[in-house]
Amino acid sequence: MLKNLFLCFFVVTVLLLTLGGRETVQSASPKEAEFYKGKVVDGIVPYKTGGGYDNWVRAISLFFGKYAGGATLVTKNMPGAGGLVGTNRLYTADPNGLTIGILNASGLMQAVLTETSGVKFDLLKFTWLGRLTSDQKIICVSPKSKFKTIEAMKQSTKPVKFGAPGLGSSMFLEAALVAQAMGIRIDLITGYETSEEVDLAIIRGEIDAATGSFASKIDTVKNGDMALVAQFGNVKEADLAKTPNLGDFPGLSSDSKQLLDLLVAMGESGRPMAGPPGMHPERSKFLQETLKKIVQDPEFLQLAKKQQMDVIYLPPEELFKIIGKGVSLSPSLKNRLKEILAKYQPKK
Amino acid sequence: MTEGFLQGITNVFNPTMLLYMFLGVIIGLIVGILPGLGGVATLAILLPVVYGMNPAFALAFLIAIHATVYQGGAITSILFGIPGETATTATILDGYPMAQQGKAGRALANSQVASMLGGIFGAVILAAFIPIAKPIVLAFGSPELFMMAVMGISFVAFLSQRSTIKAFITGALGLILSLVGFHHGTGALRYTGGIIYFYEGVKMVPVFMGLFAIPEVIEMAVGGETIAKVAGSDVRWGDIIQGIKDVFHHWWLMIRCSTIGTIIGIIPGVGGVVAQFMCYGHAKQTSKRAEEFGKGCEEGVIATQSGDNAKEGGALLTTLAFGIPGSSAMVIILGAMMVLGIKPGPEMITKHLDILWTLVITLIMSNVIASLIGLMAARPLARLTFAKGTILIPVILLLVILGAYGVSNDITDVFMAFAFGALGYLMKIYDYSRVTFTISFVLGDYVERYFLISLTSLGPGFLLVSPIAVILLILTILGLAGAPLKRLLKKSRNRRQKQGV
Amino acid sequence: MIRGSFIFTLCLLIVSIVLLFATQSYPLKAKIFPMIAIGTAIILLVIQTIVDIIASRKEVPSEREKGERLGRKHLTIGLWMVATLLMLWILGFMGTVMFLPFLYLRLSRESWKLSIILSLSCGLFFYVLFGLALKMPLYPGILFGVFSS
Repeated sequence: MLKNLFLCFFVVTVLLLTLGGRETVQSASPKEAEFYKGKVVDGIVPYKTGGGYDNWVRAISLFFGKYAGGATLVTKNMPGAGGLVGTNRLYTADPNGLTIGILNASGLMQAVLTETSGVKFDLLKFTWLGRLTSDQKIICVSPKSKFKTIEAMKQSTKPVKFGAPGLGSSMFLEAALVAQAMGIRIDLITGYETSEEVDLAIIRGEIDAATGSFASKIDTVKNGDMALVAQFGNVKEADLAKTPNLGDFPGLSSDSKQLLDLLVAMGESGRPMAGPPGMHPERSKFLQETLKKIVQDPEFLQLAKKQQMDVIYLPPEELFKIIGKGVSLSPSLKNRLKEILAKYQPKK
Repeated sequence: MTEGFLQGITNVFNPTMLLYMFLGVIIGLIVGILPGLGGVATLAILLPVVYGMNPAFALAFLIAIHATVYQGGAITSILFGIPGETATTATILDGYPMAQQGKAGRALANSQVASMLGGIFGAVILAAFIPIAKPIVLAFGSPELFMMAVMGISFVAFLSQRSTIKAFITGALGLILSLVGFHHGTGALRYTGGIIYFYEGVKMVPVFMGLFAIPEVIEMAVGGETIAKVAGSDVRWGDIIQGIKDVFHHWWLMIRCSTIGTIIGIIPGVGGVVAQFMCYGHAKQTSKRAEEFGKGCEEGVIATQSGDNAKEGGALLTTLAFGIPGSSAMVIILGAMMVLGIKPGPEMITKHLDILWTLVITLIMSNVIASLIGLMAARPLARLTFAKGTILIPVILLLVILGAYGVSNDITDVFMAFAFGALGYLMKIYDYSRVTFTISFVLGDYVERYFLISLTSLGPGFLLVSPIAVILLILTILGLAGAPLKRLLKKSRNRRQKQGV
Repeated sequence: MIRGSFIFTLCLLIVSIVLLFATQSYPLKAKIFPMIAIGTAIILLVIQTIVDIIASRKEVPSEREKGERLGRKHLTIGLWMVATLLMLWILGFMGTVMFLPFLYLRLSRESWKLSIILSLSCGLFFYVLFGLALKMPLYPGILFGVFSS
């Protein structure tokens, strides 16, 4: 008799604990703020803990409760396949407004344009919530390098060695497009694990140059370990006032201008946050508002500044336009892109 | 210079600071003990907590957590044969057999003291070398890394327990496993079978968990009642004191392994997981009791643990000198430093010398505190090995599940872990070395990657360009030739003895 | 008598040959290293297979064979592993955390008291540490996943 009692008690406890260990069942609510009260929202990060994207979501989560009716944003890292795993997971998540994520928009655009396998989403169908930042890009070399200007690179007799982590990385695509647009002969050396390793390789003299985002490289430049050659993108950074912008170079062919435009568009899409396609309309609006308020919060801005996260907000509608521009390339441009990439792939 | 040092000491011996450090150590130990919960994930989770804190406290807190996970990891590795941290997997090789022989107390003491001394070594190097850090970090480029990875794989030659052929087979297979996934050089997807899960390669943690933890669980279920097979013995203070003495007895080994660990920590291109195997291989290579390795030789434990903790000093060196993080944990610590307004680089030495010393002293103190706690807990913890299998088995299985799952919150990892568990068990009973498999698995990717980079950026003569690479090549050849040479010498000595008397 | 180790070696050989074929289609740079590794593996595996065949012909029942033979106890623990995975799939993380110790202890004929105490402690420990403190997403499993939709 006692045994059975124990068993019942035990089973009940199991059920309670198990149910308690996941999200509670939601009830429909007229006012969205009330809906979000006390709820847990998943913030998917398609990369490992500790990376830039991770930092953004964690920073936002600190202010999420304040503006989202008391809900908690929990960072969920889902790394894999260069960001594709997490992105796919966001795409197929329940569109009930309780799952959102941060995306590497330019990386995804690149994956879509180069028809990488593993892309299981339609970039245009995400429910865009807003862009957190745009990446201004720079080209760096070692301070001792003879390639301090684009001109010097163009006139080099030997190919300029650009470094990149891997074929699918943005650094690879950027180097290829820059080389093509500016008429520079390059050798693309891939295989480094991280962009930091590429930096070290430049400093060491193993390779000559690399592209990179302003935010992550500026400190190394300021320390004197690397030198700036050029920038591309539309964001005006005070530290880059004296650095030539590729778009400003005279005598660019229309083909070059097209390629540079593509590069800039990809950089402009930056790091947006989004929800799955067809996310609950009112809750989407609420989340968009929440994001907008967070990026305007002075404390958030201070925190972001300290972590060298440049907040360059773009509202969802404009973001959608930029992304649309990026993915809907004319077929001829798409083929051109494939050609260029194939040219810089190591010989088979 | 001295004011920075004194300021550092004052900072550290502030009561609040000590409290945070203590808290950090406890968290680090727990994180280390629990498989699957890695230092990196914990740091990331705690980062927001740290935002509002006083900079020096926050940094000390984070460093205390991070630097001491190896003491915790060693505990799980020794007592249960499960890697508490991927970096303490090699500790299982000799630590667990020691536990099975009822010598858990001694093994635990070995690990705690070795970790502590290794950590102090790393911290001292950090302090001493930071002004000249740059040349050191820059000295290790792709050719050097290639040679280092090759040297590591060459250890396969003598790390086998019984059959050398089988060791090489698993070495080769491990290498193939490390190549699974997207090949960055050519864009080819290798051995993925189209499954997206494998695109970035097979994950380390499920493999480690599966290969080492699950076979032990199976053994326990099939064979023994308790982990400690030696009945009737208990853990005495004598064991622990013996363990402490062991480390000092093998002080030269400890210094060598700490050096190896520190260098690996300094090099950003190579993960920290590598240090333990390099140290273990080196220890076996140079030990007079090489046959005992794998059966419960304390040198194996001392080597891996001191290397692990020493590497943290090295990693911090690169992070502080360059602002280039040496590991994923350093990425977070770097992030914390930026939030707190501390810029790594030359500024550390000019403007923030006191912070530097605070970090160094924190590193030393937290290692000491962690090891002391570990030592004090050694007796009660070691008693666990005498606990019944029926209790331990489900608990260990749960920890394995947790360990595999905690990596990327993906349930597939757990299935992978179990699959490797089955493989690991078969490997175990059929004499196929899991160690050589693991070493190749960890290093294989590096070998190929740095070979290709070196070839494409420096041309075919890349090895000759670098003195360090040449030295490593010579060491590798000596290492490979060493074992058979030793055997030949032994044989001829035996023959002479027989003929003599 | 066919020894288990021989079968295992053979399986590894077959796997390696399959991998060899898979490697053929890769571009040159992606092929070099794998080929070296697989080539080594296959050559050594063939040698090992021959060694195993010769050894099995000798038919000396050694001590080692006893440990190698997969018996009923192996089957039991194997089934437990499969059961654990199933439990994980269906009941999810927390469910397995509670049920596995309970079932295992009971079926190993430990006392009710011990089984329940251990299960509840595990449940408490894992839930507090990982669910609450670390806010890890605890996989709900199919059964309880149904409730959330």
